[in-house]
Parts: sequence; C-alpha cells; structure tokens
Amino acid sequence: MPDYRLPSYEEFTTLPYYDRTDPNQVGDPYLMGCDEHGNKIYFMGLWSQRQNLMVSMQSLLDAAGVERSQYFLQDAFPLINFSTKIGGLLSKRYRLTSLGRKITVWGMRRQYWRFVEMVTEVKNKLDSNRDFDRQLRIRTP
Amino acid sequence: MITIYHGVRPALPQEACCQRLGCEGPPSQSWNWRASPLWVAGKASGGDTVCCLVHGRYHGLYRRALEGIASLFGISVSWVNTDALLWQEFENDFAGFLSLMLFNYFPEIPGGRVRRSIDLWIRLRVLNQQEERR
Repeated sequence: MPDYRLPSYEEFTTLPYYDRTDPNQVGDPYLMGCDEHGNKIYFMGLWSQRQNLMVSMQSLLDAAGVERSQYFLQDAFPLINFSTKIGGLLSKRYRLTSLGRKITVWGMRRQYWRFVEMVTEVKNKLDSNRDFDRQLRIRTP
Repeated sequence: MITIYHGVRPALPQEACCQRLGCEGPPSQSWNWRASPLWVAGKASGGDTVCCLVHGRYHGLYRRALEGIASLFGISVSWVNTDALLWQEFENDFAGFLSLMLFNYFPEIPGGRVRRSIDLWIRLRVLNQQEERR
C-alpha cells in the first residue's frame, strides 16, 4: 500500500485476504510478501489473546534457540478504531459482508496515516538493528 | 524437538511436565500462567525441551498460532492434550472423575493418595502418549 497517499476503497478490498480469512483459521500466519530488504512479512489474527500469545510465541522461539533479532512482532490492534471493529463484527459475525466492508474500510482510511507511521517506526528499528549488527561484525574479526 | 503438554487449567499439564522431567514433589508454584501461558519447564533426558501451555477455552487459537510460528522457523513441536487423555481415562469412573476435577481446579487440596493416583495416571496415559493428531 502507498505511504504517500490515501488508498481508495477498491485498493483495500482487493488486498489479499482482506476480510476473507475464515474465523476458524484465526491464529494462522499469512504471508503477505517481502519488503525491500527481503524480510518476509506475515500477519496473524490473535483475538483477545494477542498479548498472551505474543509472550508465548517469544517463549517458544527462545526455547528453540531462535534469536530475537531474527524476527519482529508488532501489535497493530491499538490502531483499529471503533468503526473498523463494528464493520468487522457486521461482516464476520452477522454476515453483512457488503455493509461491514464499507465500514471497515471507512475506519481504516481514517486511521491510515497512523498505520503508515507505525510501519515507518518498525522499518527504522529494523534498519538500526541491521546497522548495529553490521558494525558488530566489522569490530569482531 | 519441543514437547508441549497443554490443557485448559495449569494443574494437569504442569504435573505432566514435572513427571517428564523427574521432579521431586509438587511442581513449583512460581509460574504466573495468566501472564505467560507457555512455560518452558526444562530439558528431558532425551534432549527434548518440555513446555507447559495453559490455553483456557482458546485451544484452537493457541495451537494454530504456535504451530504456525514453529513451522516458519522449522521448529518441530509435539502436542499432548493432558485434559483429553485423562477425561478418556475416567469416562465411566465417577469417583475418579471427581478426583480429577478437584485436582484440576484446586491442586493444593488433594491428599497424598489422590495425588499418587493422578501421578500414576499421568505416567501411564500422558507420558506414553504419541503425538496427538490435529
């Protein structure tokens, strides 16, 4: 999605998986693609258990010896506004898909620049980690 | 390989973990399962990492999320549902069922005889269980 303009309704609804994931599959990671540095980007729905699950996922990866620098977990839920929640409810629980999608997209467009800001912050953190790793490799022969 | 003993409440999976690791006495009460539902209990003698997971009524969600993350990193995970195995054991045994319920919700209450029985059932049913099918 562009970071210099507000996307249209069609650009949202034609996103892969947008409002199309099965509620019985909530929790599965979905691959969206790779960013400009080759990092794979996934999204996961975690319902009301997102904080507990994020801690659990980190514990599992720590137990398996996966370094925390190899992944980044970002909670996007705080940016979901009331309109988007209501639209999601109408679409998923009450099967009013057409109305629900219009409301979710309306809500997302209102919050769009905050999402852009969040993604920019994540990219900056990843860039600074990458620079730090590079410097560490240079210093340690 | 990571083995996860999981259940709705902490008592049975925690007991299973301790049995697997050969702990002496009741398991440690210091784990805050509400804040951190997945507890890495330790390494078993075979080299497997043994974990305990309390998922409440979100069994499917936790299973999909943790399996999904594990598969992204090529981590092999074995799941053992302690609740399901022990409920199967006591399908026709009301007294046993009551003991299990008591232990599950109030693990500090059952006396030595009940606890020894539960330990034996865990050893016979849970620790010998092959990886459960999804």
